[in-house]
Amino acid sequence: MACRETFADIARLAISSESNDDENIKIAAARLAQEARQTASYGRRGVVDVTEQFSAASKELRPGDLVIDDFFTLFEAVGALEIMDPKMDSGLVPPGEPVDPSFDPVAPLNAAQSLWILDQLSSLEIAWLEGSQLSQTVFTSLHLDRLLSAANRYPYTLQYGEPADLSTNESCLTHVVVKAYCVALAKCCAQVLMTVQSQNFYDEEDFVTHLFGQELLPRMGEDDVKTILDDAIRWVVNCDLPADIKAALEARLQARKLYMLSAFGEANLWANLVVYTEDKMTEESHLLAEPIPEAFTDKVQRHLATSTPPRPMLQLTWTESQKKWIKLFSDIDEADRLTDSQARQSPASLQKAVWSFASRDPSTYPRAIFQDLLFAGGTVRDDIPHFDLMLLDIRDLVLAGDVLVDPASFHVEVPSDPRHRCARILETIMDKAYDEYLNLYRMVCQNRCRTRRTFTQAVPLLHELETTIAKQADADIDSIMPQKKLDTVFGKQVKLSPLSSWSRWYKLKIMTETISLGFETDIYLDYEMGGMYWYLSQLNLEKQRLLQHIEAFLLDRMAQIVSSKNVAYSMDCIASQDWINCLREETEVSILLAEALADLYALLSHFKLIKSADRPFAQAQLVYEARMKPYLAVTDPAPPSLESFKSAQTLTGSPEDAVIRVEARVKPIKEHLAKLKKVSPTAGKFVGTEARRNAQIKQLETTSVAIFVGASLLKRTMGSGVGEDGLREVLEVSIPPPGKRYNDWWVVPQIKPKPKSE
Amino acid sequence: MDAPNSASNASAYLSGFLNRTLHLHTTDGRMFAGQMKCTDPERNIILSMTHEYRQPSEADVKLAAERHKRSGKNGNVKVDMKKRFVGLVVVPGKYITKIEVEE
Repeated sequence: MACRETFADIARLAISSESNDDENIKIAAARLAQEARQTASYGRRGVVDVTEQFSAASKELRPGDLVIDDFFTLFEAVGALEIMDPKMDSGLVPPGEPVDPSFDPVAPLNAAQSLWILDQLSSLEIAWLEGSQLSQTVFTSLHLDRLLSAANRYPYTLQYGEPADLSTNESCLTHVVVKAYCVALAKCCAQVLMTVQSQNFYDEEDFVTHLFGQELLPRMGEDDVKTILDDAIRWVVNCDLPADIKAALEARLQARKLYMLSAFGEANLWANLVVYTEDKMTEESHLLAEPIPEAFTDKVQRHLATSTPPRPMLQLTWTESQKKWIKLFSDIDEADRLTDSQARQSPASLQKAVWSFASRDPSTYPRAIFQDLLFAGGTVRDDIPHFDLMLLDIRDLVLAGDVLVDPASFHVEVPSDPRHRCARILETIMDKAYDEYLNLYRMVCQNRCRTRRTFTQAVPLLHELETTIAKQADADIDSIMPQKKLDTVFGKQVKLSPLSSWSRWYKLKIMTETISLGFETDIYLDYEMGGMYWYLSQLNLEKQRLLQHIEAFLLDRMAQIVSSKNVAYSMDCIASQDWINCLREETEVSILLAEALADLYALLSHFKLIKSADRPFAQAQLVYEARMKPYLAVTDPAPPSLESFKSAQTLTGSPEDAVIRVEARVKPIKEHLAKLKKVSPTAGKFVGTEARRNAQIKQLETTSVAIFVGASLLKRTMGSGVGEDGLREVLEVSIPPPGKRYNDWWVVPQIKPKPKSE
Repeated sequence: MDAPNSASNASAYLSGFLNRTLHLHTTDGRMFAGQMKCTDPERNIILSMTHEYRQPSEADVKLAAERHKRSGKNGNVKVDMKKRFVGLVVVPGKYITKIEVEE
C-alpha cells in the first residue's frame, strides 16, 4: 500500500510542477498519475466488456496502422512472447491435453524407480550448476514441484504438509527417501544461490539465478533438513531391500549429506566428495535403476513465472553428470589448496594462484567459493587483511628494505614523525588503489572474455593512478622524506617514485595481459597477429626498462643496508632482488617470443601465406582505433601510430634477413627458460602453483622450438629456388585455434609443405 | 464508449486504451491481464506487466475441497484462479475471444 501511495504522490508532485513546461515531463506525469490510479485500482474495480467496439475499431484501421504508446518502441516489442505459439508460449496446453501431468508424486515407488529419480535429480542439478536454468533442470521433477508448490506448507510433505502413510516399503521410498533427497537438494540449491549471489558473477551468462516465482522451502532450517536426511539414511540402512540397491540408495543420500554440510560450511568435505563420487556413484550402481521418466516433465513450465520461451528439459547421461560433479568438487577443493597458508603469504603467489584456478575453467559456484575465500571480511581466508596484502606487494616490488613500508612505521603515533606522515600518505593511496588492486584478483575469477574486458577497462584507471594520484603521493613523500636520486635507464639523477613505479608496473602488466587474453579468446584476425605481437613486445620492453629502474634503486638500498646491519631489511632486499631477477627473465622471454612471432607473421604476410587485410570499404584509421581502443587513453607508453603499427606488420629488409632474425631471437629463449627453471617457488613467488609453472615453462619451450622449425622451413623453401610467388604453391599455413596451441597466449602459425597433387 | 466510424476515429478510440489494464480472454480459456502498449488492424495486442490466469484444475479443486472439509468449515469451497507473471506478451487477434477493460 505504501508503495502505491508514494507512486501517486510522485505523480501529483510532477503535475504540480508547472514551472517546467517541458512537454515530456507533462506526459510522463500524466502517465505516472494514470499508472498510479491503475495500480491502486488493480483487481478492485469492475471490468467492462469492449470486445465488439474494439474489434470494430480494429477493422477500421488501415493496413500498417499501429496504435502505439509513445514510450513503447517496436524494438521492445520484439521481446514480447507470442501467446499460443508453441515455441514461445510456455503456458500453451495443446487441445485435449490435461493441464496437470498425470503422474502422481504421492504414488508409491519401488526401490529401483526411487534410485532412478535420485540419479536423475543429481544429473539435472549439475546441469543447473553448469549454467542451465532451474526450469529446465531440477524444477522439472514433479516430486520437487509438489514440495515447492505454493499450496504446500511446513513441514513440506508430498501431501501438502499432511503426514503420509508409511506402512509399506514402497510408500516409504516415496515419502521418506525421495522426499528427503528433494528437500535436501532444494536447500543445497538455495545455499549455492546465496554463495554465488554474494560474489561477482554474470547472471544469465555463466549462471541463472532466476527462481521462476518459486521459493526454496523458506521455513525449512538446515537442522530440519539434516534430521530428514538422517531419518532417510537410517530407514535405508534398516530396510529389507536387496543389498546392492540398498547400498546404492544409501550412497546417494550420504553423498547429498556430505555436499550439504560442505555447502553450508559446516565441514570441508570437498576432497572426500571427489573420492566418494568416484567410488560409489558408479555406472554399475546406476544400472540398478529403473527409469520412470514420467516423474519429470518440462510441462512444469506452464505454471512457473517466466518471461522467456519454454525450454526443453536437459538430458545428461549418468557418467557425464558424475564427471561434472567430480570436476566441481575438485575445483572447490583446489580453491582451498591454492589459498593455503603458504600461498597467501605473498601477493604474487596469490595472483598466480588465481590465474591457476581460472585456468581450470571452473563453473560459477566454485568461482564464488574461491572469491569468498579471497575477499570475505576484507581478508584473505580470515588471515591476511587486504591492506597488508597490498602493502606487501608494494614492498616486494619497489620498496624492499625501506622504512616507508615497514609495518612498524604505520604504528608510529607521533604526528610530527616523518614515518607517521608518510604512512598516512601510503594509506590514502592504497585506499584509492584498493578496488583496482583487488580486481587483479577478482576479475580473473570471471569467465575469460569478462576478464579481458574488465582488464581493458582497468587500463585507463591504472594510468590515471600512476600519472596523477601516485605521482602526487610520491611528491608528498619526497617533501617529507627527501628521496635519493640515481642515474637509471629513465635518465640522469632521477628519483625512484616508488608508488608511480608500482602503479606503472601493474598498468603495463594489465596491458600485456589484455593483449595475451585477446590471443587466448581469439579476437585478432590473422593479419593482425603480427602487429599485436609487435605491440606486445614494445610493452614488454617498457616493463623491462621499469624493472631496471627499480632494480637500480634496490641495489643502492642494499648497499646501505649491509652497512647498517639490519637483518630483516637485508632479507627483504635479497628476496626482492630474486623476484625482480625472475621477472626480468620472464619479461625477456616474452620480448623474444613476441618479436620472433611479429617477424614471422610479417614474413607470412609478405609471401601472402596468410590472408591480408582485404577490406575495401573499411577505413584503416577507424579499424585501427577500434582495435587499440583500450590503450588510446594511455599517454605513456603511447600506443603506436597507425603508420608504425602497419609497418610492424610488413616486412623490413629482405626475407632472408627476417628469417635469420627470427632464428636469432628464438635461440636464447632456451637459456632464459633454463634459468627460470632453477628459480625456487619462494624466490619466484609461485608457491602452490609449481605444477602449472613447470608446465608453462615447458609450453614456452615447445613454442619457441615450433617458431624455429617454422622459420627454418621457410628458409629452406626460400633457398630451394621456388621464388617468392612460388612459395605459396609449395607451402600452406594454418593458425591453430585456442586449445590447440602449445600455449594459448602464443599463437605459432603452422607452416607445412602442401601435399603434392597427383 | 461508442464504436467509431472512420480510421482516424478508430485510431483515437483505440488510443484511449493505451496503458489501461485489459483482460484478454483466449480461445484456450486463459485470461491475460496487463497494460496495453500497442495494437494493429488485426487486433494483435501487446500487453506489458502481464499476468496469466488459468482455471484451477481438477486436482486443485479436489485439494481445496479436502482442506475445506478438514478445517471443518461449511458452505461453498472457494478456489482461486491460477496466476503467474509472464511479463511482456503479444496476444494474436485470432485467439482473442473477449476483451475487457478495467474501469
